[in-house]
Amino acid sequence: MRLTDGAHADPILTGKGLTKVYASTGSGTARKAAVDGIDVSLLPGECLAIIGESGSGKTTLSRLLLGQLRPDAGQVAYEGGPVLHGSQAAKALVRDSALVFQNPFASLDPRWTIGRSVAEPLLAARLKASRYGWHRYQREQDLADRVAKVLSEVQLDPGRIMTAYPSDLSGGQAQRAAIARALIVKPRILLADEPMSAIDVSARVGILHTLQSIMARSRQQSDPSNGMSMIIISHDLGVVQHIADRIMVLSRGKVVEEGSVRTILDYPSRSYTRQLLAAATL
Amino acid sequence: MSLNIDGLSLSINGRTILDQVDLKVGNGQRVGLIGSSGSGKSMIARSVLGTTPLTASLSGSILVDGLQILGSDDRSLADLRGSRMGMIFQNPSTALNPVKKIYSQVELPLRRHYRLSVQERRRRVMEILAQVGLDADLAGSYPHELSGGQQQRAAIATALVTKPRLILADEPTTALDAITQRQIVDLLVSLVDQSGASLLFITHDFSVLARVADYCYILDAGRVVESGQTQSILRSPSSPQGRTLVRAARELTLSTDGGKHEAD
Repeated sequence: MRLTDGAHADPILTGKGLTKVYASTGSGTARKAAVDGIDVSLLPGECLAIIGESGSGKTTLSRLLLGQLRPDAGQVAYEGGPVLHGSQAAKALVRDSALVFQNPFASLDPRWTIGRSVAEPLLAARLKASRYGWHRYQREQDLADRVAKVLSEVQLDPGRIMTAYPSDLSGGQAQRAAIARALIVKPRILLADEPMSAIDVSARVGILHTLQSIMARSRQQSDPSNGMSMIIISHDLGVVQHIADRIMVLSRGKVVEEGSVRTILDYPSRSYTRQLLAAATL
Repeated sequence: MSLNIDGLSLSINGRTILDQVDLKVGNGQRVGLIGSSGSGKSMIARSVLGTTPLTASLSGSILVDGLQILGSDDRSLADLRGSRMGMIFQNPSTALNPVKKIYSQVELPLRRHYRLSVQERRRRVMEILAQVGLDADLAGSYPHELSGGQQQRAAIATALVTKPRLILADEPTTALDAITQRQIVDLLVSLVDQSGASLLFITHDFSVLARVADYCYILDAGRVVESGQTQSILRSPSSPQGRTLVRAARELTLSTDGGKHEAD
């Protein structure tokens, strides 16, 4: 099942009028907004793709949405609460979100086994739990079991991978491990920033299938409002066509087009979107 | 300029990287070399350039216009590189010198290989910058002031300024976004065709290769497992590796022809 509209659920995450201006690096050039007055909402269990060329503002927008950057104008709300410095909603958003980056080898510590890297976010949550009183304490065996379970979810063999180092893995395997590391904290929002760009084409298909199965499992939950949502950032429409419910096309910090996958692919209304389509055609 | 690789094997510390590779690029031909990461694609390009690691041991034959590359001394190889052979690499930000302006980078191969007047060098640099679609005022910029696509255009200008007869392009679009990738591929093809040079284009992506090369070789674990016309391999690949690569390219590209409606 794919979500196509949000008639039945409240958005889990919203951004209104989000704007971010970076200080100019060149002399004499005007300051330009990397993200310019963008409205965005994410439904529970939904996969939203943010598409655009390099420098269009995709990563800045995602960092604003996850509260990692403070907007110069506009506001982010998580489950209805404003995400402001130190607010309850901001803390909850940090706890409930996880990231997957472009280069898996930069996400995994080269001196740590995969098992240790994957367990680390859970251990960090346990440390925080003692500070904030969250009840997330795990025994060592529970921890190992959860690492093994999440590795199986991303189609890695726990027996072989847990004791391996990143240098023992292919790019595709390392990215799966990075996805497992993100999933272990059972995030409600998974942000994948170009998760397939640094991996060769044949391994990309495998990663795509892994992400598809994760989303399918999340949508099968008894309570759909608890399903994990995903934001996938990419410059490549070909990659996101099989996984996204909705596509947002960004150019120069503005949303130029937004709609369901089929609408964008079959009826692109802007020449920029058509360029993206042409670039993703064999 | 033709490239003729015959029975090329390469091993590093006893580990076989290339195993009896045969590959031909005819005069003025555009040929693709495709394979997944670690299959040995780049090592073939480095063997042709004579820049393999010092610990590598090579056997076989690499003829560039009848001249044997294997066993040639460093000096004659250095004379070939950048003059008759041009190289374009994956990551333009590491291919360009960060502390030199674009003009002097593009000019360098001319200074290294030819004795030309300042005016003639300037004329040729500005000509190639225009051909790759870079504004003349970017000649005074440093690489970090350029976008990824502009940097790759500058790297292409550096490779082509001496009008090389054989161009080796090693994943020149992999680090770029989809739209820029398409522009750079089309630019490279038109420049190569204009100059009549031969091109060996290395990639892991059939959707890129299909636009560049009429003929291609598929490499897996250091061996050529399939070769033939690109379009016929795309239709019916015969090797398992070829099937994987073609299936991946089909799955990750769109079946639409760029939208059914043409409104804006």
